[in-house]
Amino acid sequence: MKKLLLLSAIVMLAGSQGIEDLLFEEIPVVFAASKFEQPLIEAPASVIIITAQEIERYGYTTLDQALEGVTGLYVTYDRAYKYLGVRGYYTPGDYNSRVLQLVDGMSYNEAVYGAASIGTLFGVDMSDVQRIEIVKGPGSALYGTNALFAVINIVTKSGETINGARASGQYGSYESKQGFFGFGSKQGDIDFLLSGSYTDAPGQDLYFEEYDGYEDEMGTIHDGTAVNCDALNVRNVHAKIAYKTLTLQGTYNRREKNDPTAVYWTIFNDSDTKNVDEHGFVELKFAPNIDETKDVMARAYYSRYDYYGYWAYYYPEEDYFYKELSRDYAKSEFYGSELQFNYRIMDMDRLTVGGEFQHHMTLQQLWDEGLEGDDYYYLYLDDERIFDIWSLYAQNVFEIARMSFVLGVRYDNYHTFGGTTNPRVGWVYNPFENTAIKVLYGTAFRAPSPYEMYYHDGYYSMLANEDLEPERLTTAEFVLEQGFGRHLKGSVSLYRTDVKDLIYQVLTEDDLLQFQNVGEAEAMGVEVNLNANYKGILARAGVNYQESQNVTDDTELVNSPKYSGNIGVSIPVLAEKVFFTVESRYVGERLDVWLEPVDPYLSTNVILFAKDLIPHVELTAKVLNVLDEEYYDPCSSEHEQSSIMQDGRTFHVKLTLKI
Amino acid sequence: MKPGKPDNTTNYRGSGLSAGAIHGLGALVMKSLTLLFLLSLIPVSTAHAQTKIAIVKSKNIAAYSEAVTGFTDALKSRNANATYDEYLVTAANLIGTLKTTKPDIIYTLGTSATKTVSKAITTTPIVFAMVMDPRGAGIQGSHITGASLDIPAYLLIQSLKRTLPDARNVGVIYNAAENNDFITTAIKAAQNLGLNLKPYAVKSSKEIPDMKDLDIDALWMIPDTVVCKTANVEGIFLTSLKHKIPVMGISSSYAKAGAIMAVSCDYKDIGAQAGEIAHMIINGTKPRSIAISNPRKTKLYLNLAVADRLKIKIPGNIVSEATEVYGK
Repeated sequence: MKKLLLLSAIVMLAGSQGIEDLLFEEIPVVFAASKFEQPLIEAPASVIIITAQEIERYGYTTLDQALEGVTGLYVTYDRAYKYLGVRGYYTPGDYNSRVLQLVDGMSYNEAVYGAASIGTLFGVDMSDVQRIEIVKGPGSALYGTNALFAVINIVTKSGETINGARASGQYGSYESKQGFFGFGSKQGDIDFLLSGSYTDAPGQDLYFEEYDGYEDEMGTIHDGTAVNCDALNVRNVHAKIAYKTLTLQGTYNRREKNDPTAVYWTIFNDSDTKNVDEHGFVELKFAPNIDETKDVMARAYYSRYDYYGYWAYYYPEEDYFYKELSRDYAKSEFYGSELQFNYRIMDMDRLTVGGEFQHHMTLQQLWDEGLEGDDYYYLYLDDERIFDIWSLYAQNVFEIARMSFVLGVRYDNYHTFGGTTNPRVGWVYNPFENTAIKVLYGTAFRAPSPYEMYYHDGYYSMLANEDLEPERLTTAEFVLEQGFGRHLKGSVSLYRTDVKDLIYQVLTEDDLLQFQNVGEAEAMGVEVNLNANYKGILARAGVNYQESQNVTDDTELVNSPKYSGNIGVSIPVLAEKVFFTVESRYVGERLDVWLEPVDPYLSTNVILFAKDLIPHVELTAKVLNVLDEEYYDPCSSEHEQSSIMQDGRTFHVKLTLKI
Repeated sequence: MKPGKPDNTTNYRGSGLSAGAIHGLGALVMKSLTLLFLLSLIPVSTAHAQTKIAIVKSKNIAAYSEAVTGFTDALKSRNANATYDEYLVTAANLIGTLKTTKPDIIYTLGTSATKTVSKAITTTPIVFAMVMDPRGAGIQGSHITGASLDIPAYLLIQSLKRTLPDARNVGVIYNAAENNDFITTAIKAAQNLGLNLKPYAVKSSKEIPDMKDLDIDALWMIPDTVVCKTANVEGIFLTSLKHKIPVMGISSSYAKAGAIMAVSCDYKDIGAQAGEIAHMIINGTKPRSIAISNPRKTKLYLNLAVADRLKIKIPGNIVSEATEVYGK
């Protein structure tokens, strides 16, 4: 038998755990940082992972809720969509086109607005998510456009992981309801998963000070309250089937959301103004190993996104006003293929080369739909664009001693503005077992979206701008990651980001909205993270401090908090069957589009999660914004309001049955 | 009633015995019958009296659930009448609860639960399972016994030899402070099986040698807190593929991730072994008289995709014996 004293010392070092725990361990890997899986500490990037366990215990039901808990990320909501800011950058009017969203490595951003879908637009239920990998910093050297400030890869569960059927129902404040059903299994070599969910929320009656006492064209004087104008309806389907190294996956999302803010100066307190988004994709992926040093990944995909906007206006006739719907329609349709080859040369060099081709079709239309008959039909905009993008990329990771060097480059060719080349250089040094020093440099670009270039509304409130150039970004980052024993990890990151030709929605001299390359912006900051995992307790804390400014006119960037931070603790309170979780996030003072300060806020959520108290049953009860903090998010120039009030305290209960 | 005093109400005529003698005999018979009746109850009560068993798990994982099922099934098949209360070692006031509820036996799963409970409770019999190297972990006492996870080195090496019959020189990387004695035993076991076990002692991850420098036909991994770190394991698998050196891992997840094979315990049977021990204790055997058992059933996991890449043909009978085959 082994020596008692020595082993006792080891057992003490390992806390109260036993050596047998090694038998039950899985090896965590990250995909998004390098396009191949590798241990976190070696990833040439600043990477955060949100695990399925955290999703469960923090009670996350939408992607934005999970992302809000990540240091340096903040979410803005204008009661139509949710928008993600990264390290001080979120420009009003942007539909998350500066963040690349991947589902199992496949781009989920649609192409007409370039939008990532971080809220209820995302077609995969959080209970189907295995982990979320957030890589802050530029990713264009591997992924091309949109990978400007961050790459978010959502890794979905396999059928084998789910292994059974699940049904859940959720009920919350303001009569919000959600139902979910799904099943997954592995039979022989076939792994399959199918799930679907339905959400219906009538929403709240919301007060907007800007419309208190407002008299509209019909002579109605409003008290500032929009009644029944906040409804949400969402349907999701997610399916995946895999046979050995061949995987077919698809999602579908349909979301209908009323807009209570009278956006674009539509009729206030009218429930006919709404946005409908439909988004689906299907992907066929084949990823075999050729031999011990080579593997290949080939995929073909198809994505379609449809947007329907309904805008209610009063139009003047000779001696009266009549109500009419201004209608928006946008479509993004693309198919493409990618071939990627990984080659490990000797034991110290890993080469990734690949190419991608995409064929796009986008369509944007805007017309008036007469409520008083077809005579009133008028088409303002009918813009169809067909274009191809092709790309080549290569990355080499060279390892020697305890260091690795990363060199990557990607070339993308757009018919609109030609080619763009984006490099990435990284140096990762592991001087000690739990220490990593990372020095990273990269550039990225974002092609202006068809919406930014070609959209107008007959020049009533918005202008097109066909001369837009792509934004270009350069980031340098220094990261120190340090583990303290097995249970505590910390990291410090210093970064500087410079953006040239920043695309920004501005008001022209004629009071019309237009996207323009407004010049240069820069941000410098420091980010500190701590993560602990001890005896079932999950804890995390992080702060981000950054200073950003528009270099051209030396002004502070809009919606760019200098300080932000988060803290979360999840504790098992009853036999690891009941967990109590508290998380808070702080977002510091920001400027709105009129450069007026918006107050900082601290929002705290409390979550109780129980599983297997009753066999096969899980219960989540949560109170969001438990302290009922009153706070506002800045919004874009298309609103009369400069900032929009956010939800106060809300309650949610979810019951899940697993068989 | 005093003995010898005549009973005025009963007249035993023609018996030839006095009334007092008759009464004394009756009392004796009644006492004897009562005693016999009570004695007859003893085996009955042993078979049917309820045994309170507290189950304490180190954590909530599937492997422990299997061991709980194996435990309760084993007792049920032996007609033991037992009730079970399940706890996690992290539960608030666990020891207080155990002291208050006074279970007849405490069944612990994992080192953490076993150490925590055995330190605080010194009289109630404790039967453990899912513990690796219990003596080394300091688990001992006259009230403790159980089923360990220690598969004898001989069985593991034998399994490697059957699966990889061409391997003669087998490497093993280990932390001497932790596994020195085990390796000493393993070297002898390998010699008996006609293999040459080449041990490489390391103190930290950075001392782990590159497999290509080891001149070995296969690498045998053992549970070792220095070597089995996730980053090390990935590096070992990648080197294994590159230099065509097969690796035997320590669990099914190793076989899934890149080892050609892995041997692990049948956790349900470990639980059944513990259940059989508990049954012996219910029947009166003292825990100190029951030896800690080793696993009697193992599971073999194979990865045929890895075998293909290493150009190794695993014998057909071994493939058919495997509990699970990955990469078919």
